[in-house]
Amino acid sequence: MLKIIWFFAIILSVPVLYIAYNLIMAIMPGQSKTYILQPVFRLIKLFEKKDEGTNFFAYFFSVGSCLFSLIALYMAVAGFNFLFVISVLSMMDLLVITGAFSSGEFSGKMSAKRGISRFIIWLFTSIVSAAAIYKATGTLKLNEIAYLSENNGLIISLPFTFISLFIILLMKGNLLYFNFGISGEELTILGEALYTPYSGWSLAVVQIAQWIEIGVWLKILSSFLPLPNPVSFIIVSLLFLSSLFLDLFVSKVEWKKAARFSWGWAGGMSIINFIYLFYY
Amino acid sequence: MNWLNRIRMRSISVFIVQAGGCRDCALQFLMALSENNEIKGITVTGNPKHADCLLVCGCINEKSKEKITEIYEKMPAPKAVIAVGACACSGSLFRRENSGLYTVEEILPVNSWIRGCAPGTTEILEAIVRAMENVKENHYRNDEGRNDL
Repeated sequence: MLKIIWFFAIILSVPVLYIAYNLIMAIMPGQSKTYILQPVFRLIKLFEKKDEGTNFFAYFFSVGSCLFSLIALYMAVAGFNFLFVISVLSMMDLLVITGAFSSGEFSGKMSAKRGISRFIIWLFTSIVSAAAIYKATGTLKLNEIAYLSENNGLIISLPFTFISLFIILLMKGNLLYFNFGISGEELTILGEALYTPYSGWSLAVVQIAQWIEIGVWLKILSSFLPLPNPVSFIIVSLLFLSSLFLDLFVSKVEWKKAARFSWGWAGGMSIINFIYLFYY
Repeated sequence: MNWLNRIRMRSISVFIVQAGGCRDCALQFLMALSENNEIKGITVTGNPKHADCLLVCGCINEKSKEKITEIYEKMPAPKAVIAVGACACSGSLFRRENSGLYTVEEILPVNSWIRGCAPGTTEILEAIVRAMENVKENHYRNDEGRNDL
């Protein structure tokens, strides 16, 4: 029962974070002129739109990616092996990239290229982080990691791994200097993480998949804090929300520069922690 | 379905095309978004596939005509086209015989015209909202010519 509650709570948590972002932005004078529920409005609107130009594969791959994100979420909630969750998330990411590439359009190929480079970085970081976690805890099962962390605080022995995994979250949300610009010059908060060739309801489905994926990463990150699971999940969510606001003060960089930053920070941090654990 | 239309009106993604000219109309629109007015929910997108409304500013020449029609074809329905400023509506000062310039109406089904050089900020936002309201009531599914206003 608890797992089911967690499952739906995580699905709802990311839209709630974006709504909270819009709520705070609406209060601030001279800022965004959007509705508080704009992310939800846009999602509903997208389901109604019809795109005659989109190929069948875009719909197929978007549904596939959403399915895989749900499987990854279930695995994260049920406390499966960290590497299993990563492999399912990889499948999800690859489906989205393949869908983008299958459009045959220039924008699709461009976003697929960027998506692949992002994919390589986050997968590498995850694998090195998994090795570091195994070295520190002797297990890769998320429920066991969370249990160990509640008593000992995994963040103390794996601070850089935590940072590198948080940077993966920023890469997924296209935030700060880790924005690969996958959607071109999209300015809306919802559109920032989307691939260009998708539109209509396939775009909405990819959006839902992306929300769920961010939820999965929040759940994984919450296993590192020495606090009860719900509390640590809220803390990590608030960190993500604060990075959404921080993104307003950070200029966008070219995607190749974002890739270099990501390699350095996400990949580098995870390697530093692994080497430290290995030799000391 | 009224509630669905109301939701659509609360999230309008606009794609701006600067076909040629002084860019003042596009800047007026961006200024309108940063002003404190009652119209909310309008955002700018850089991707035609995410757009609901095409805002055409400036004089259209042979080169930009092709690009504008290409962008229009990529936009998913329901979609609206708005001609912003004197250049886009009528060619303004630059329209001469055999000058090779087009108005938006000559190449696309236009939903709204905003005249003036440069047009007012509030008028642009109101026109976008009205055009999107109009596009839901009329034959937006098969894009047969321009909608009645």
